[in-house]
Amino acid sequence: MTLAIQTQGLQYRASREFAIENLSLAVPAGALYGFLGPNGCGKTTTIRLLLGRLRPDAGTITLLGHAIPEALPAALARTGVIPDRPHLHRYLTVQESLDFHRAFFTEWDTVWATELLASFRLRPGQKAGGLSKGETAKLMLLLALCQKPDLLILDEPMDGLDPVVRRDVLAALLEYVSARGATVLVSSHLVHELERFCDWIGVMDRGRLVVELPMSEFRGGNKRLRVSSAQSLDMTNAPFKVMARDRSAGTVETWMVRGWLPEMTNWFQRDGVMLREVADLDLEDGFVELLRAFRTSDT
Amino acid sequence: MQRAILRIQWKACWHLVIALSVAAFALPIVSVRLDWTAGRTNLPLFLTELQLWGFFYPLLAGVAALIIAVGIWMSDRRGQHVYALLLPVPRWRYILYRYAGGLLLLVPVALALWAGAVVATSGLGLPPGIRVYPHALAAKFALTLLLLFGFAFALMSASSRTVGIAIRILGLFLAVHVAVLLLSPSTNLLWTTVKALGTSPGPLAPLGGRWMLIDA
Repeated sequence: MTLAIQTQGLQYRASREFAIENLSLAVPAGALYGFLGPNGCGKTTTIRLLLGRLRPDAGTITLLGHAIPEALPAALARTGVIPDRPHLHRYLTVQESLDFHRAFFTEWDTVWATELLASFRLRPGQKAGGLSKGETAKLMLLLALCQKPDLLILDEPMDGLDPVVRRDVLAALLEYVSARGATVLVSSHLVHELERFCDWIGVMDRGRLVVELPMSEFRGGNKRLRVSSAQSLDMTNAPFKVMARDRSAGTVETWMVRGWLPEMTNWFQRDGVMLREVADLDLEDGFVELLRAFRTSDT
Repeated sequence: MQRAILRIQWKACWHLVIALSVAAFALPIVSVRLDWTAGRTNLPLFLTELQLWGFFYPLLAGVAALIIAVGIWMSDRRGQHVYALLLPVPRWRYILYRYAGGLLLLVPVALALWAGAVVATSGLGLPPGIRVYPHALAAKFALTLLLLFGFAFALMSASSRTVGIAIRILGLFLAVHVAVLLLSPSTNLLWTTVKALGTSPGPLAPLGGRWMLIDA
């Protein structure tokens, strides 16, 4: 599997309280990789490390085969970025912003930029500083896309956008990715946002990678089980991972499990234990339970 | 790429460049014309008053250098230099282009002062022994601009963290100066340092000396 982004043993101490610890990411080429985690878990710090804005204390970073920070300009030439906050020159008009950005990218697509300007309903003469939040997001995406990158790194690109703008932005992004086969790493703390279009997911918490796997595996392996008379069960040899166990409903317990496969129902058929129900856990519940389990094991 | 950088810098600062150029053109003319009427009859007084005007040349150079440096970096500082750091250009080259672009914006200011100095000193009908130095003054002004723009550019292009470190070093130096002064009143570290920097071959030497457009 070719990797578009790879980090190994990444360490970075941001403050006394917070550090990125031993982070090893592997983002496959062509993947739509959702980088998920609660606020303050280290997603933005990791992205800054990937983009050479911060220097790691230890570990290695490779972007599209280029070592970071040594070959940063070569990697950035093929990477479109939407940072966590607007970074455009406010005194330039939309057209001037495009002209400035174009000067740095040899593969800039002028025709598509004009088309996107029209479809995003951005006026070329409008000052960047006078754009609304949604318009600014569209302009930043336009700049990132029209440079024809092989990799897009988007830090909370949909944050605070209304549903209409969100749909426009997502449609343009998906159109580009399907045409170009580019890799996308998109960070968010909104699970449903990523669920819709990501095929890989990496979950971060407290500066560490909790899990990294294909979305289908993440979605399919997380189940809510209802089990009765389970008090006597020896959990040490369970073939799945129990993330949470709710005993509040008397003899019927509710379990949140990970790594579930249909044949595992056999494991319950003993000692009068009865598996009453196996239900899909939606991504948000799976995410919450995953973090809860991670934090419990962490403390 | 250089042109794109120059274009955005011009866009950010063109009104400042024009205002500073007007000031630079007017300064020598105003200094000479205001005093010349009285100077016809009292040449020593005229030269003394002209010397007082000399204070405004390094001041204008300092203001111009600072304003242009602030003007070209203000937007980047507001965005914590993120845009610049995401461009696929080696940082040293990007900084060099920005510096060269900033210097180009200062050329009209230096030229305006030179033109103003030439205009101010033409047709004065000075007595024998008195000479005009429009080219030397303009050259000194340009050199001072270059020097001060370097300082201002370094300050404005640095990250907040770097500026913080510089301020802490300065604060530490001042604290040491006060401590030394308390222990040994005859030792003035601050004055010694300023003198070393401001006199030849110190880096701020061009700021000192006489800024005379007309002199004996």
